[in-house]
Amino acid sequence: MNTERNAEAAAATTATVPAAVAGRAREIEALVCRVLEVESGTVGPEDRFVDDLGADSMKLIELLSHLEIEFDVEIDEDELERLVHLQGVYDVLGDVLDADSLDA
Amino acid sequence: MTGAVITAWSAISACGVGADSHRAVYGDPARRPRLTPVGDPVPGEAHVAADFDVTEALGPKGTSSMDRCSALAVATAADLLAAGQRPQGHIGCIQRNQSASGGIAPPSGIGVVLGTTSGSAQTQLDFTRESLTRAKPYRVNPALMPFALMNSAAARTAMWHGLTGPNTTIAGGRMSGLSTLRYGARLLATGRADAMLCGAVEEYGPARQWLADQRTPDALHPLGEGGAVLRLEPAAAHGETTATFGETTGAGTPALADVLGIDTRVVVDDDPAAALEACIRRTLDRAGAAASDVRTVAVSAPPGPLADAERRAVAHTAGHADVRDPGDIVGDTGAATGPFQVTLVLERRGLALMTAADEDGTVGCGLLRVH
Amino acid sequence: MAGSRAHAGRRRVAVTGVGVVSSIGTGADAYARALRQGRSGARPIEAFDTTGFAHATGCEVVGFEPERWLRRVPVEEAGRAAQFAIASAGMALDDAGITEDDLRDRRGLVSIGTTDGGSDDGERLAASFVHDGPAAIDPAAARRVPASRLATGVARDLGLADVEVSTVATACAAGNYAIGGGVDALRTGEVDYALCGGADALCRMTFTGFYRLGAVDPDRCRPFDVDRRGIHTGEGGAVLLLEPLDDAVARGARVYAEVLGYGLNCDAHHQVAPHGESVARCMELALDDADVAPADVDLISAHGTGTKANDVTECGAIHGVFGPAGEVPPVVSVKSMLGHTMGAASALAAAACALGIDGGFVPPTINHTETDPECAVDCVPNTAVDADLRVVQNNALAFGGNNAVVVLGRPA
Repeated sequence: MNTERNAEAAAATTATVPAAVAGRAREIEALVCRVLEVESGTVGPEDRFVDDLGADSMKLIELLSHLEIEFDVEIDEDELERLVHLQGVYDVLGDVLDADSLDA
Repeated sequence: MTGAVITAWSAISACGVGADSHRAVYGDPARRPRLTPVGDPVPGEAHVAADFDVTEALGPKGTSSMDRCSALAVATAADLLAAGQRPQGHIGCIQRNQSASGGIAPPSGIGVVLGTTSGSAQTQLDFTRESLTRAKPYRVNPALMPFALMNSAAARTAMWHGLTGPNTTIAGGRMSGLSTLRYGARLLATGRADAMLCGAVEEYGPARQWLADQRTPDALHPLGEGGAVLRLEPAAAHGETTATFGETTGAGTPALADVLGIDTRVVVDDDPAAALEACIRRTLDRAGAAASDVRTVAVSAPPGPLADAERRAVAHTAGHADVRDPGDIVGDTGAATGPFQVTLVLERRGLALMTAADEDGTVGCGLLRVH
Repeated sequence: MAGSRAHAGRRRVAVTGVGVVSSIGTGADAYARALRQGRSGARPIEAFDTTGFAHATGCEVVGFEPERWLRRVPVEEAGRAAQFAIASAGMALDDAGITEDDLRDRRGLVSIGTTDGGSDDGERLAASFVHDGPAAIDPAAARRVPASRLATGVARDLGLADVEVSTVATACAAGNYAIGGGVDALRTGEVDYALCGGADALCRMTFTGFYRLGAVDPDRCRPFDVDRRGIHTGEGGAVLLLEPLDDAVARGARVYAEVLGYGLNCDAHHQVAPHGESVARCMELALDDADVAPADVDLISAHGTGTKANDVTECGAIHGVFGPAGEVPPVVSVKSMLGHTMGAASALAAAACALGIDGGFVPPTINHTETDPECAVDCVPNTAVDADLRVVQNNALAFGGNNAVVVLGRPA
């Protein structure tokens, strides 16, 4: 499917995906699109959720919550400042998962 | 006289979407909807509004966490606000008020008052389930929270359609039809609104079924899902050109009915039939009408022995009238029973009475003159 | 001034009884003393299991004995919020020096606002559903869930049959809605008295929701403070007895305050974020209904939740209506003491306004260190002050953009 290829392209090839979330970029992109209610495959890595995609602060907390649920991690609310675009989401999740693996 | 008139209505239920779908079924018992088996995890049979799909009706934006109560309210109200422009029975995708995304809507004199039993029980259960079963109790979907509150349906209706008038939710249970009509008429009488959308919605889901089964196992009707909303306007203003709805509905549509009076009482002596009878007699007295003038009655048919008390009070006062029960058609729609009663009596000219009795210990009636 | 220029001939409405159940004091006198002292109701939440939350401070009512207050309704038939409502209503009548027998032959109204209604029972039922499946049942608890029980419970407990009852479920502005509903029914002459207020019990669901939204302060509730971090959930109830002012004067009743007017509107904008312009419009509607000018207002009892967004938006709206800092009267939040008691909040705040007018004091905003420049109001930090209050405005905002503002005054 076209959409799937686009999603692959948008999510994996043009973004810098940290090793800790490598292989889950598609899944993350899909989750972001579901929460922000935008079509999968249409979001570039640096498209800003608020300014470009019409999200509000409530949506960003929703996103943080779903990331915590899906990845079983704790994300500090201060990280909302970085959860501004897809690249930011990859980076935050990468950092959190790295920290978790160090703890373990 | 409350000074208010009903000028339009819409509904969604197992009968379908829109007033015409309902009228067609009301007039032809053979077309009454059949029960749908609903299973997991609470077995039962119910009258589900199967034709109503939230995403199909309202689109994907803003609906991913929306409860069915709110969606039913938004869609029913849409049908009312745009009556005449949209083919009845087909919602299509109901567009949000455009000004809602950026600034706020311009001041509108249209208010909303909706009744409920306890909001979306399903959303409340789902939210609690997430909190209790996930690794941390706060790993819930925060988007569910506003939909778990009882005011969600009315607030969402205003937001979707840009209605900035008074916006009220009354937890009236089976009294909701009478409570919202009285409240709406009073806001019109005091000049706080130019027009009111009055009604109630009730979703179907395992949570509601489970609670209902516990409360009163011997229910008269299987549960039903749906919503009905009435448009209420001041009689005086309606006689002239209606500015409020003029643009969207075509001004000067004739009033469907005058709201002559509403009276409710609290049962303090374990005799709901006597209390209801007192309401009926006082309401008729105040309207200067005789019981023998009442042509149509619609009952609320609560679960359990209360239904008999309601029927007894009607038999003592307006026993000669044609008595109808929306539960026979759309099932037990809880808080929405009241507005559905109104839609039923609007089918027949003359004086019409709606009665109501709730398990919480309230009874009441409303008197309409149907044109 | 506090009269009826534009509304000549309109029936005036008096507050003649105050009943309160709160985390800082129960009964009008104890509540007034606590407000003057700036007492805090905050403590670790015990109403539900808080395991797994990093912090869980709330304003719980401790030591409430329902059997002491319920006269006719069996305790097991009333959920905690209904018990608060019933107790508050009974206290309001006692406080006014009248009995239910005095009301028996008069047409009345009971209106109780609530956010959660019987949801505390509902969520305990939900927990048993989640853990044990649909076979686990508790019919008595299931019957306590419908929120209509709050207002009906008050009427049943007082044995009042000829009353219009309504439980107003407009979330966190519901108390003011209930008061407004009573005012209208009195003005139109449809009723001769009204018992109006709000009640809510602590709910795990509400706490969890606010916690998830990052809107619960881990330390203390500090509205308008630059370091504020959110609400504390609270519980309680408050009911005012409203009567026509003429009747109250005729029977020599103590009149705490007059309800001068109220306003309602809806943002129709966002599900949780208030809209300043619309909130300002609601204040203007209320002042207009009360027939007073902004310059006549001596005190604003703010919605003042202590969240970042609410306080900035609300103060902005206040400045929009009242003008620059020098022209804005003191703006206080009793939520700093009571937490956010949801549907009871604006009823408890209205009770505080009435007691302040009667007692000549302004309740403080406690836990205050430094005012947020984005709020820029005199919040009467930490210590109550004596004041001659002629007109007081009580704000209430709710999720869903449901705004309700009530204006009270000292009867002239």
